[in-house]
Amino acid sequence: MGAETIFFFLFGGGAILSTLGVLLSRNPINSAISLVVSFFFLAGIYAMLSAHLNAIMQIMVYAGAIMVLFVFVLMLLNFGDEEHEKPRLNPTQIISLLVGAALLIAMFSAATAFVDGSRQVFHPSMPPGFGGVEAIGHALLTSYVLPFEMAAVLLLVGIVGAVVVAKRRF
Amino acid sequence: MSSLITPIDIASTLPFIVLCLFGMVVLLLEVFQRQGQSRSYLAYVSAVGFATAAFSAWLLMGVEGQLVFHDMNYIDGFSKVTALLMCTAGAVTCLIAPRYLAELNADRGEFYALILFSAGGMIMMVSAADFIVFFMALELMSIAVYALAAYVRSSRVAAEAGFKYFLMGAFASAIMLYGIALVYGATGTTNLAAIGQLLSYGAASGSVDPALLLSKVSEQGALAGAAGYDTTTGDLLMLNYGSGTANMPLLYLGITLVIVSAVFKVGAVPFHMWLPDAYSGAPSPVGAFMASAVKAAAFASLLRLLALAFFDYELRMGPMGWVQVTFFLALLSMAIGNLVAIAQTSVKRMLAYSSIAHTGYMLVAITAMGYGVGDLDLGASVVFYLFAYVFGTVGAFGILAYLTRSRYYVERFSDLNGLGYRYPALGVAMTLFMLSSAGIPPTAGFIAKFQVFKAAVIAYGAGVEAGEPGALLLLALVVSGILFSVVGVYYYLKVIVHLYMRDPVREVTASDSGPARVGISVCAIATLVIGLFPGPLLNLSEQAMSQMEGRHDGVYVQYEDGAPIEDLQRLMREGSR
Amino acid sequence: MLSLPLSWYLMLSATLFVMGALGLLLRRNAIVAFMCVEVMLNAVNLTFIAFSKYHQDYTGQVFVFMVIAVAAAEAGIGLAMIVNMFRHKHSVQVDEATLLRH
Repeated sequence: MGAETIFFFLFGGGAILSTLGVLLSRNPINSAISLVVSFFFLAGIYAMLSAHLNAIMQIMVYAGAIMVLFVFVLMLLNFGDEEHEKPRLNPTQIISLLVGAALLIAMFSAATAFVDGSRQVFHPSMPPGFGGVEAIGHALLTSYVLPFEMAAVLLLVGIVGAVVVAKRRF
Repeated sequence: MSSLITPIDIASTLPFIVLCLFGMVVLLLEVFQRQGQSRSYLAYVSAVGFATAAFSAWLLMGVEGQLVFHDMNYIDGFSKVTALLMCTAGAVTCLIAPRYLAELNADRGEFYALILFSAGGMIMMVSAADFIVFFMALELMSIAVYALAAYVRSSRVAAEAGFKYFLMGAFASAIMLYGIALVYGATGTTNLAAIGQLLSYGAASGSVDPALLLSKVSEQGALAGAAGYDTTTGDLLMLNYGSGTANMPLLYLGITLVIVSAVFKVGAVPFHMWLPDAYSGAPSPVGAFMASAVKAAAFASLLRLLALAFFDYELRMGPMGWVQVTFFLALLSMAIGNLVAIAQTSVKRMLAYSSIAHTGYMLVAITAMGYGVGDLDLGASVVFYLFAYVFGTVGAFGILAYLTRSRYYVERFSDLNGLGYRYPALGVAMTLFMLSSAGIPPTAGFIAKFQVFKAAVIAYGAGVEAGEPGALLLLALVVSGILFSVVGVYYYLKVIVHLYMRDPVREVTASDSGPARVGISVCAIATLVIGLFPGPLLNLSEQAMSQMEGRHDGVYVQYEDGAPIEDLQRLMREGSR
Repeated sequence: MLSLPLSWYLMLSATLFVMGALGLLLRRNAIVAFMCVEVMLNAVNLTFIAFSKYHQDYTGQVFVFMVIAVAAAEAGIGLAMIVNMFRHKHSVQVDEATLLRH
């Protein structure tokens, strides 16, 4: 059992457990904190998969910015423990559980078939600098310059939209 | 490395750039406005923006279809014609909005800016050549529309509807992304045309040498971007492809997820639950925009997606093919949409359910397009239908907005009582929109429905000739479509009956808005003119489909030991004509 | 270095994705439901990154970059909508949305 296996189970198991925490905790604040923890575990997995820039981005943007916004809103609305949520099952929910289970089974079998049919593992050697800042930055500003510019417009729309929706008076 | 951005790149995305620029100009103008000043001139500014964008799209009609921006985007007949469609819908939405917003005390420039940005996203979405651009454009469109749906903050209904719409939309986006990720995993590329070519030539037989094929495809320019960083190892892109069935489950799962979420966005039954609430809860001009432009963009990009990436014979007609899926969705949408619309007491909800029914009619054409040997030119009927549908829908929502006053939303059928006499022009316009939606001549809707059903009959004929299984089902789809249209006539005529044959219950006074009158008149005139002289628009929509770059005509060729490369090149030339 | 099979990563991401989707459909608290969307997006990112390494192709990683940008914009809008909804009904339970039914 190599180091990679240990890390995979550590990060993967941690991600699944903390995501369970998001789903099951009664208090939304606990959900938010569990989500941050799961983001950190996933960042670990990204680093294992030679996506170093994305691992850093995951921590900086997701855990650092987006989740701070979530926690901020939770504090602003201040409804800490008052949630009384009864897990009752109506037909829609049963259907969604079934569809979810079906998707999971389909995905597991597809993933296994995918690997059985061709190369078992990743290439042992990666191109130098794969997943680093320089390589991704180069790709973003050459081949992917159009989506990159569109992201700028998208963020502008996000800002304007958020202000329009949440401002108290016109 | 060639230069970063070439002039043709900029020129070809001109409609998008113009819309973004106007969006920013509107935002800046808003900064210098004082509280309480009227912003209705911004409606004209935005309409000018849409007109400029449409004009630039028109100018680009002459440019030969090609890939731009490092194979990220297409400039072709299809993207330009659909850009005209989006610009029209956006411009009319801006025109009907100002008075409505003023009445609800929400007269702010951001509204127009968001409409402009959203339309920009739509234009990129229908011209996307790569899943990355497709996804970014989809989100640009959606995020602006989410904000617009909750735009009138004083309304609890709008807040609620906006949030539910947002949550469903985000859910659908996540599902689509997962599908894209799986397709990327199975094929190694996110380029739409490349996926289509790989699926067809790779899946046809395992005997094609993938690397050889890839180099040939690369010469054609379609795969240049997808080849990416593979220079070190050369064969990497195709490593897992062509080896046969191993990646097929993953691929099918991915495609299913992408198509399901696309169907979710167009609002076909059974993925329609969010739609009536969203359309009727949103402010009327936003409802108009969502029902017309957003739906048109979703349909047009679905056409592009199917035609480029997923038009392989096995994918369409195989045991899990999407033709079966669209067949049932079309049938269900027509049935549920029309039958539930009858029961509505709110005109807005009736329009929402009728738009589900319209989704069903368009899915009939998409089913026909994918049936049997597959004839992409039949997709032209969808483009034409979208034009007719957009004018009818924006017009009808526009009239509801026109009638809305500060304290009173005009929503119920009884609110329209007797208005045909008090506002003769308005009555005529509404009658036209309803006739068009019902598909009664001499309006645009009649020609549109005729085209859609004609497409299905043509596909039936071709299917019988080729001995495809289940061709009769296509004919059954046409018959049920016609029957359900007859059912639909009932609730459209109900509006006209209320307009002319019922006594008014309450005083409803129209908000005497100049821009709205312009917008509604444009829709009414277009509905009538297209109905009387459909020729030019029919040509335009046929041109849109025939000039769609990178389209993949579903050539299904069984190559035996080593494909003849000359043949391959010829097929690809024909495929991307 | 010994390498783990790709399928392990795919299964992990599928599990996370389905968990997120079920959470979205089953939880009634708007903020938690929205967090579940973020879980789903993260599962997608994991898939992209795994395939990106498998194909030794940058597209997947660039896609992840874009998804993070979109998630940020979506979070802004979504939380603004939640705040707006909370102002009107002093609750963030999505199931109470019966107002729109006629």
